[in-house]
Amino acid sequence: MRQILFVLSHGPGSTIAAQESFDALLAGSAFAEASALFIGNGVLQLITSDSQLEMPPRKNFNVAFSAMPDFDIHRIYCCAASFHERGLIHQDLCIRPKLLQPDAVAELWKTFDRVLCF
Amino acid sequence: MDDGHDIYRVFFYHDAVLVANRFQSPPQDEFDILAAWQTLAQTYNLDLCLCIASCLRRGIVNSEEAERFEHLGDSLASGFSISGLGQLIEATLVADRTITFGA
Repeated sequence: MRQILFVLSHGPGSTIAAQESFDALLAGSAFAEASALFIGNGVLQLITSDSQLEMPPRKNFNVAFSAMPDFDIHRIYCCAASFHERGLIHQDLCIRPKLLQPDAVAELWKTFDRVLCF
Repeated sequence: MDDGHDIYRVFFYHDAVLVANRFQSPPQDEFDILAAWQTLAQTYNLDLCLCIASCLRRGIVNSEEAERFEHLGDSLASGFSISGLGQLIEATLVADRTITFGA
């Protein structure tokens, strides 16, 4: 089965882009072995709903993140530099992604058949 | 294309689906992106495919969707088709290269 890396770089909230990117990830999991990399403002999607203000009309779609293993999405990564630049701590996150240093992120791309950036 | 490459599909996602809004009327001194896509698609016989979820959120509907949601008319420009995210993933797997713009 082909391996696709979904790179999620949109912050949550101000636009629908982050939510639509997650939809693409779920769709991809039906056709290929899908993995996720949260990078840049995309790491903010990982902040648990409890510590985020609900901002209508956007919904907190990240409550579905814990269901990723049910969609056979088992490899979930987060850029460590993006994570620390934004002052995040592990307790802020709704799931436990694998933190990767920038050089490891660069290596990660090479291990996938396809990379889709959102 | 002139170098011998084939384009399997062009997939529009997020706000990019607004390219296919047939009601847009840009000022005469601005670039008409809809006309440019239509010309390109006609010249090279391209498959221009839009994500249906992105479309419905943004008011891009073909005649079937207009009927389903009881809109007064459709807003989809000619030369484009509305389909699902599966088309993006399928094209990604079939083609030897996938190029993403403006993510």
